[in-house]
Amino acid sequence: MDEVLGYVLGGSLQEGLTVRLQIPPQDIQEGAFVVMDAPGWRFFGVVTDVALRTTHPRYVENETPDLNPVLTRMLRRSTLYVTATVLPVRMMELPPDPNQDPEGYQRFLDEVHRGARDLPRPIPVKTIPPHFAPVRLADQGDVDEIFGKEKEGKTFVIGYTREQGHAVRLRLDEFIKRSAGVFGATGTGKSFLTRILLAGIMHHDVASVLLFDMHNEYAYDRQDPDRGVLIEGFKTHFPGRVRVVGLGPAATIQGRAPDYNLMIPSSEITPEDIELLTHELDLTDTAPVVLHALHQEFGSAWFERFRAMRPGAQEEYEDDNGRVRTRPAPDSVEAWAKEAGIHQGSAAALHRKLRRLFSKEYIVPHPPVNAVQQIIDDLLQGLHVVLSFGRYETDLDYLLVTNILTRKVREAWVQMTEEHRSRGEAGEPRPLVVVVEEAHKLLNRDMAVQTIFSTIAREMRKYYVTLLIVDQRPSQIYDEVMSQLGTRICGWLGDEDDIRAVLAGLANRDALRGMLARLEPREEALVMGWGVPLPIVVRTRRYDRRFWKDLMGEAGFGPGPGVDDINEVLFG
Amino acid sequence: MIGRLLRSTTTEFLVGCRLEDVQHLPFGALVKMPWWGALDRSGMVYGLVAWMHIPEGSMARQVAVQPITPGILQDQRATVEPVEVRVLVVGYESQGEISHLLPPHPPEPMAAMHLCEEDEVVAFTSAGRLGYLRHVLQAGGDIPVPELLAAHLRQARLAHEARGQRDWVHRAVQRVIHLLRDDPPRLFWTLDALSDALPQSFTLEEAVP
Ligand SMILES: Nc1ncnc2c1ncn2[C@@H]1O[C@H](COP(=O)(O)OP(=O)(O)O)[C@@H](O)[C@H]1O
Ligand SMILES: [Mg+2]
Repeated sequence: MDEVLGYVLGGSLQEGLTVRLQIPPQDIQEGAFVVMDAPGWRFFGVVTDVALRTTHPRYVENETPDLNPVLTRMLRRSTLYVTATVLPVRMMELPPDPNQDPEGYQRFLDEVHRGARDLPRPIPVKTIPPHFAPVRLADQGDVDEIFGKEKEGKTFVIGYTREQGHAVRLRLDEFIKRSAGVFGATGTGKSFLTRILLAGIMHHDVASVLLFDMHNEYAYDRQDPDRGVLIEGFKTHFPGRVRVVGLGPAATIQGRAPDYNLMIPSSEITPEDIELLTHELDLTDTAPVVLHALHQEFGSAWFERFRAMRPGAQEEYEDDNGRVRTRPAPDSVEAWAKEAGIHQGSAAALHRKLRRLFSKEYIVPHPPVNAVQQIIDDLLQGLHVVLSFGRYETDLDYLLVTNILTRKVREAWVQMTEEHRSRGEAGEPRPLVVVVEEAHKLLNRDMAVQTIFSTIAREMRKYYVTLLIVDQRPSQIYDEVMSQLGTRICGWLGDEDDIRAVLAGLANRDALRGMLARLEPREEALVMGWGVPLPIVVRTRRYDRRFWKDLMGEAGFGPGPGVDDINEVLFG
Repeated sequence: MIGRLLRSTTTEFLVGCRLEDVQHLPFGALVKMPWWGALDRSGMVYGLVAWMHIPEGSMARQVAVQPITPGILQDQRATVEPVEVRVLVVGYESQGEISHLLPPHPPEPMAAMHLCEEDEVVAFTSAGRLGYLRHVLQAGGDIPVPELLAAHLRQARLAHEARGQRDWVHRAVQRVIHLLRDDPPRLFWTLDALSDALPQSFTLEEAVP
């Protein structure tokens, strides 16, 4: 058992425990994961503050200058001390010690065997350890107890504790049950961490992944611009399980041809999809009326029909008096507007603004293959889809395509779930994780109410679809979406608003804020949220060759914990 | 024998000494005296020399302003009343066991006081957990406590160091700090006196807790 750091002196469940340290302050850090043993119970907590104390203020206010230096040192040693504030988070019942109370221990085991009681497991704290309970740093067994053990199956190392480098695991099957977020300022390692998480999800096969790869970084190998080493893509390691889809005809991604191309049938575009682009396209408030009228008249063909109209086209005709006059041509926007009772100027303006969309090569009336369906089928079969945007790098492309595709995919999942629920015939739908980088573009306050993404975030796991959002500006994400995120993994953030947003809805925000503000600028993250048992600072696992080697060697699934494991866990 | 008991209380006793014996009895020295009720056994009361009073000699006033001769000095020494020595009780011994509590009974008048040998000083001060320092720090009246402590620690330290026990004084200082830690002004004052009692070369042995 590890060295005792100190003893509980006082405190409360609400405000945290005061622990008098018997080690120097530099030997412990904020965010350290500690364990406190009390008779019958083990408590798990997090260091949230470290403080210098004195038995009396006079000992620091006026030092006597000419004391013998040895006396000065002895005086300091007994009147100055260090305390840490520890936030108790979890507690776990301890069975009787087999060495001290073998009978009690045997009785305990028998009860577990008979099913009369559960194996002890960490539960949220409801009380605190008593005065003078010894405090020590968590060892690997404690970390595993809280975050997951290797042999539990679907657990996966995402990083290491800061003090002692113990591996911190994530229970992947729990992780994907709720939407989650990866946050941090630019360059803190979000994309790398996302790679690590997704590699774990793919390797342990807990869900299908639909990844919107706006910057073409995830599919194929590429050079790391920061360090000049090769970053390996998912296609390299899961060639048979990952489908790389390129947006648009003849797309190439990192110089390679994707598995197939995505062309969007114009009939899939709804007026709401366009309204979402109000900001991007600079639409006016008359646009919805025009869109509605178009849809009313042409149904799903509205986009094609509108695209075909010629704005401002005139034709000549002879009036009753035989004079040649001009009027809007029958195929002009104006003629249609007149017919439909719509303000002609508004219709013309909308047509002009939609020109940016009309010219997109990936929107066609009849794509040669139904790639949208193909993507859905692939995902249903348990494959993972990386949609690379290729050269379509604007927000307009990103917003339109992610929204349409995600809507179609979710519809398939909703249908499947409902069939499963009502008739129980189809098997349980396979969980799906939709990954969006630059999530604030899709989930900002103006947009969130309308996008499919906020629907997914809010309905949680009802239809087996959850989000993994990756973003550097969490403050711009709609708070209602933020508060739905079960697991939040956050790298360093400088902006006060962003910090507040990431912590929204969590308990002990003050403590977490401090931990967040003092993360290393890179490759350190605070893992928190109601999806994880305990907030913890990790040095993130490195994403490199070694990572892939270790991952591929990691057992996929194992047996669940047995009664025999209890000894090992509790008594080392 | 260096004097006899005049009167006593539980915490202190007064001893009469001959003037010429006082030179063997430094301030702060550890002394002992059989305690009342144990005359025929081996019980001893221990105390520290805490205060001395040399009464005014009958001739002193007359000769104060005159030149004095060796003869006058001799006469004055022969006629002066006994020196009064106040001894602060710091513990006792009964049937070979040293206790740092106060004795069950004070010594009896006329009991003979002895100066403790170095071995006895070491035995008394290293018994138990230095509890006798409580009595020193609590001494009242006009006893100059910080000075008494300094004088005692200096003597006792030498005795301990002569036997290779260099950490004794550290433990003693630590104990003083502990006992006075809630009273910073007194503690500073006391440590100031202790600073003067310790040699410049005094160093910290890190092994000492
Ligand atoms: N886990 C990691 N393993 C290896 N390198 C990393 C890791 N995290 C960050 N890096 C380094 O930091 C750089 C920035 O990381 P990145 O994930 O692109 O940041 P972000 O997406 O937050 O802007 C990377 O190019 C890489 O060199
Ligand atoms: Mg990035």
